[in-house]
Amino acid sequence: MKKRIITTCLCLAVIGSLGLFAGCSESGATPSGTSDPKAGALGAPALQPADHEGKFERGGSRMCYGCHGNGSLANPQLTGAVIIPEDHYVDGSYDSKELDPIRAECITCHPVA
Amino acid sequence: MEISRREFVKATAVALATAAAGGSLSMLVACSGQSESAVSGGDTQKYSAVCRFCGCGCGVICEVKDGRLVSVTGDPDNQSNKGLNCVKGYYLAKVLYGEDRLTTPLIRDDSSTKGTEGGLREASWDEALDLVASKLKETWKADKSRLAFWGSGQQPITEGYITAKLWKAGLLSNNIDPNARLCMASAVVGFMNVFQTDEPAGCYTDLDYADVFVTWGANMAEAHPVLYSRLTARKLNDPNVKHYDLGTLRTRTSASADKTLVFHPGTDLAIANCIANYLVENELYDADFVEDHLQFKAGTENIGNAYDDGYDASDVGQSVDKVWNIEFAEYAEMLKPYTFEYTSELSGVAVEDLKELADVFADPDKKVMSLWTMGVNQHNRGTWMNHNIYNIHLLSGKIAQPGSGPFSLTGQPTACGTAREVGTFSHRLPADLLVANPQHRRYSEAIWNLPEGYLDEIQKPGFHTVKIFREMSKGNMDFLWSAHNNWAQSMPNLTRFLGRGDQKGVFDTFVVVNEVYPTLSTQYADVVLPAALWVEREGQFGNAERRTAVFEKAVDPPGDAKWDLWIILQVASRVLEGEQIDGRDAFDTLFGFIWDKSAGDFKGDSRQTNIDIWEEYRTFSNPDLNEKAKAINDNASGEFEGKLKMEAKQLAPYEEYLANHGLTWPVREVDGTWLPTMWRFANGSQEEGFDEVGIAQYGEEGLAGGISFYKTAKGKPSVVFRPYEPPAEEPDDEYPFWFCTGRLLEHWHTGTMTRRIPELDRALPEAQLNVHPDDCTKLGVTDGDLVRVKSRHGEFEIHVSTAGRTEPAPGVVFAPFFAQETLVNLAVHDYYCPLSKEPDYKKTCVSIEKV
Repeated sequence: MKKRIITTCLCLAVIGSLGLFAGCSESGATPSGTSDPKAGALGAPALQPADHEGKFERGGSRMCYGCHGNGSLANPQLTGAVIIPEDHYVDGSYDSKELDPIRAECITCHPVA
Repeated sequence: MEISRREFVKATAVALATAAAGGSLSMLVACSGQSESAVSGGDTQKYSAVCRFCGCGCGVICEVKDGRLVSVTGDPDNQSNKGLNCVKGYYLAKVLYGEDRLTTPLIRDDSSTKGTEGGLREASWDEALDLVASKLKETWKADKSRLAFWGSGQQPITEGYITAKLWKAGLLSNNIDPNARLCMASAVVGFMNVFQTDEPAGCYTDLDYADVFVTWGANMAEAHPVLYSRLTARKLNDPNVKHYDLGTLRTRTSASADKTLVFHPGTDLAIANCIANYLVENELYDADFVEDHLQFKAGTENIGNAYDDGYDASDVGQSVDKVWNIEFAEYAEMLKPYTFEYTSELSGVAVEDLKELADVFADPDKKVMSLWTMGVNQHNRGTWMNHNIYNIHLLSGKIAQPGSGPFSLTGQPTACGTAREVGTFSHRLPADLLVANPQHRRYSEAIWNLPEGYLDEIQKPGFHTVKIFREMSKGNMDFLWSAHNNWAQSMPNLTRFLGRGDQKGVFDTFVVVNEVYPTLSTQYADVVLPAALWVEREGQFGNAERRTAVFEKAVDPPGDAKWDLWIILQVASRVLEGEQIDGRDAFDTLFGFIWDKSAGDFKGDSRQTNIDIWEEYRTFSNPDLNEKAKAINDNASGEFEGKLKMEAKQLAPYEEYLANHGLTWPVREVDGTWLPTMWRFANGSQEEGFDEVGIAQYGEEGLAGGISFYKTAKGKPSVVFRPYEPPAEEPDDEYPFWFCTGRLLEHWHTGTMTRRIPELDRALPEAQLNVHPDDCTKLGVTDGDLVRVKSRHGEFEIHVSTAGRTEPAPGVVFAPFFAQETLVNLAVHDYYCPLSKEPDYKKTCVSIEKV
C-alpha cells in the first residue's frame, strides 16, 4: 500500500514538474479539443484517433494493451500512447499486468472518431 | 518507506507517459469512474441519476459546477452497472447544452408549412397552452376516437403515471400508446400469455453466473453495451463459458461468440421448435419441472399479416389471441416436423450447429441464459417467437435461477418502468392491469377515488401505435400529442405517415410535440412545447431487470423550458375546467393532491411532487394502503374469479430508491428493511435476492426447482405451440434483398440528442448501408457509392459500405435509423405482429440501384 502511495506521489511530482496539470487526456484529448469543463464532458473517455480504425475488431483488448498497457507487453514511454488507468486492471493494480475482464470491451467507451 | 529502483522507474514511466499524452491527474481519476474526487473542491455538487439512453438503465453520478453539469460517470452503487458506463453515458452531460435547445413555445399558423424547417413562431406559454387545451377539448367533446397521445419508454415513471391517469380517468380515452409499442410489445404479450405477469423472472446478475449465453437477434455490443461487457467478462473469467449468437447477420456481438448461427429471416421460429422437438423426442426435458409447473396449449395458426388497415377487425384478426389446452403428447406431435434436417433446410443453419445448440438445453447441469431484443420482438411473429424461447427454457427447467433463464432485454431506459408498469399502453391500467377486466377497473377506481363503474367506458382498448398513425394519415385524427419521442423519424412507413404519398392526413391533424431540440417531428407540429431534459427535473426509470431508480434534479432547464409534468397538468386543468366526477371537480379529484389550481402550479417542490405521485402509484402494488382496493385484491366479495395478487409487483417508499440507488421489484419489507427481489418465483432467502416473501404469501413450497409461479393462472405457465410461418414479405425479382434496420453504439434512436454531441457525431457521422461484397459485385457498386434503396412502400438514398459495423449475409442489407438526412424508415413497411401490434423493422424487401 505504501509503495503504491509513493508511486502515485512520484507520478504526481513528475507530471507537476512538467507543468502539465492543466492538460487532460480525457476531455482534453478528445478530437473536439475542448478543455472547458462546462462543456459537460469532464471525465469522459478519450476517443481513438481515426488511424486506429479496425484495430480493436482485429485484436480486441490485447491490441489496445499492446501500446497502452503498463505490463510486460509494452513500454508506453516508447509509443507516447495514453496509458490505461490502473483501475482498469485486475485488482485495480498495474502489478497484475492484466486488464480487468469487465473492461475488456475497450471500444464500448473508446470508439474511433 | 522503501521503494525499489524498479518501482521508481515504473512510476516515472507512468508519469511521463501520462504527461506525454497530454494526460492529467483528473483524467486518470475520472477514467476510473471516481470523478467526484477528481473535481470536487467544495464548489461542486453530486447527484445520483440513471442514464437516459438505452434499456440497460445504468446508474450514473452527475457532477454540477456553477449550475452546469460538468461530468457524468458510472455509479458504483447502482447494481445494474456497478460503476460501468459506455461512451454515450460518459458524454451525457453535453446533451443538455446543444446550441439549438428549444427554450420558448412555438406555434405554426399555417399548416401548409409542415414538413419544412420554417413556419413556427415564438409564443408565450399561456398562448400555447390555451391553444393546445382548446384543440384537445374541442376534439374530446366532438369525437374521442379522433384524439391520441403518443408517449414513450423514455417518459419518467411519475410523468407517465399522471399522463395515463389524465387520458384514462380524465378523458375516459384509451387512445394513448407509447413508442415502446415499437420495441417491447411482443415481449409484453409473450410475458402475459405465458406467465400472466410482465417482465423477467431473472436479473442482470445472471450474466455473472451463466455457463452458456444464447443471443437471439440481439446486438448487445452496440445496443446494450454495459450488459455485453458483463457477458464478455464472464466469458473471459471462465474459458468453459460458451456463447451462441443467432441472427440474420453478423454483428459486433458475434465477436465473442463461440459460434454464430446465421439463419434465413423468420426461421428462428423453426429453430426454437427444433430444439424443443429434440428435447421432447429424446426425453431430454426436465420431467419433474414439466409435471409440477407447465400446462400446454395450442393457438390460432395461419394468421396472415397485417397488410390492411382493417386487419385487426377481420375474422382472422379477431381470432389471433385464441388458445386452447392440449395434452403434452399433442404438443410433442405438433413439434415432430421440426427435425434437424427440415429446420436446417429452412433456416440455412447446419444440422450439427442446431444439434450442438439443442444439446446445450438438454444438459441438466448447464446454466443457460437466453437474451433477446429487437430481432425477436420486431418480427411479424414477435409474440410467437417470445413464446418459443420460453418453451425451450420451460421444458428444460432453465428459468428463475441464478445464471439460468430467458431474459428479454428492453429497448429504452424505462420501457418497463413507465410504458409497461404504469399503464401507458392503449389496453392497460397501472401495474399490469387491463382495461378489459372488470376486477382491474374496480381496483383502479378504488385507488383513483372514482365511483364504481366509472371506468367501464374504457373497457375496450384504444388505438395501438400503428393504428394511430394509419388513422392520422387517412385524415381520421384531429389531435395528436407526442412527448419523449420523434415519431416522424422512428415510425415505419414514413412515406405514408409524413404525407409523402397520397395520404395527407398529417397536414390536417393538430399536432403537439413536447421536445428539447428541433426534430423532424417538430417540423410537423402545430405547437412545440419546450421541455426540460433529463436531470433538469427529477424523475424515475425502470429498467429491464425490474430495477426502479430515481434520477435527481441536478440543474435548471434553460430559458422557458418546462417540466413535462407541468405542461401536462397545465393543459389538464384547462381541458377539465367545469368537468365533474360524481359531483366533484374532476381536475381536483384526479390531480388536486399535487396541483394547486388557483396558483396554477405544483403544491410542493419537484421532490415532494414525485413523492406524492409515487405514493399513490405504489398503492397499486401495496393494496394494504387502501382498504377498498385491498378488498378487491382479496376478492372479498367473491364476485370475481380470484385474488389479484397485486403484491407480486410490490414497490417500496420513494426514499428507499434514493437510499439504495435503485431496487428490483417486488421489494419486500422484512423486519423494517425493504429488500429487493432478484429472482422472482424462486424460493430462498429474501436477503439473498430470492422471492421468499412472495412464495410464502401466494406460492407453494416443494415444487421442482424450488420454484412457484404464484402469479400465473393455476400456478402453471403455458407452453404454447407456435409454428413457423413465413415473413410478411419475401424477396422476389423486383425486391430481391432483405432490409434490416437497428441501432449502433454511439447514437441513441433518432440521433436528435447524440448527434449534437461532437465526439459521438464524429465517431459515427453517417448512416451507411452494409452490403455483402458478393452483392456489391452483382450490383456493380463499391464502398462509398450512393445507392437508392426502394421498397413497395418508399425509398431512400444511402452510401454503401462493406466494412461497416455489421456483416450481412448475401441477400441481406443493414442500415441504422439514427440519421434524419437518410430517413431509412421511408421504405420500411409497417406490417406488425398480429398479437402485439409491434411492427417488423427487420424484414422489408427492397431493391438497390446505384444513383
